[in-house]
Amino acid sequence: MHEISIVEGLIDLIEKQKEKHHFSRVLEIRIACGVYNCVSEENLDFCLKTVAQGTYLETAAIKVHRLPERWSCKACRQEFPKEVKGDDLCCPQCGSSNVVPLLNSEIYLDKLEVE
Amino acid sequence: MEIKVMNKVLAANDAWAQENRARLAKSGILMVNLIGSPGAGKTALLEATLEHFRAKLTVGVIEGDIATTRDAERIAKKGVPVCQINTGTACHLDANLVNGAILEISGTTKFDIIFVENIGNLVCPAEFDIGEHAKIAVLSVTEGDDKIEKYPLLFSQARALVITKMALHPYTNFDLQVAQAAFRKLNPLAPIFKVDSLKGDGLEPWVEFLSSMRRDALK
Repeated sequence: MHEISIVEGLIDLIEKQKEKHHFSRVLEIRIACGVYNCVSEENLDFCLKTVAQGTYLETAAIKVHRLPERWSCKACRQEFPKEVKGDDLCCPQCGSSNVVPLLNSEIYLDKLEVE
Repeated sequence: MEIKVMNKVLAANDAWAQENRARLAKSGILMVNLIGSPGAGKTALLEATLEHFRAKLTVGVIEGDIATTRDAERIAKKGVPVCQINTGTACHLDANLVNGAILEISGTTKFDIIFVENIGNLVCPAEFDIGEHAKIAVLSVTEGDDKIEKYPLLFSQARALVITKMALHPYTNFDLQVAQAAFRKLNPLAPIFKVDSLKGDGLEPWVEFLSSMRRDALK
């Protein structure tokens, strides 16, 4: 159900872009969010198709881009992507195990493909 | 043509959350957002917590449910100001709804802590900032130790994990070490409290944690 709230937020942002750029159709809406956000591409696309029928948004497809998970070392302040960390929870620079995930829980409208 | 935007989608919600945060800061109130499944024991944990704070701190409660005022009635029996939000269909509380509820229960009361009991759901409430100081994940042993890995957003954001219904633990296959390891992977620093709200077991460290968060919120 929270997809509806997200689609409402998206439409508000796209309306503002339309006032600036005067496009007639939106082809693709790219969303960026953290790896753990409970944002489903299929559900968002379905919600948008439902509310956008007969408007300049009905041609739009929603694509979700997951931002890579990043961690931070509390010892040397190095930031690093999760891939480097592996299972041992250590900083790739100084080897400290005092590392914490950088929370990326935001959902962004990344970019629009319009004509 | 491509247009680069990079704006927050929930900007309207975030603006309300900021307003809530500013209001709470001005009044020196700690706001705690309890999130867990339906039946995880959020209301029972609140009831037990309110008993501990009785005559020590002034506490208010905002109850979120799809329907009914049952939780608000339970809390009202404790003699605590309570506001019930019925969302009708929505699966989460948003910052705008909570703003109205804060205004409604505040009146002339000077609260130390406001607890928000979110809609029973491990998914959607985690996506919405309501202006709280801390989200608290509530998980009962009867739900299973796999829920932490299954719903990582909430457990990665939580400032603490409260494992409830500990008196039932011997009758379940809930593995505390598995749960703890899964939580640590997502959230290396947040404390874990093991409680049984009905028996009143394990509540002291949880209450002390809330008190210390309250002291930090006043700084």
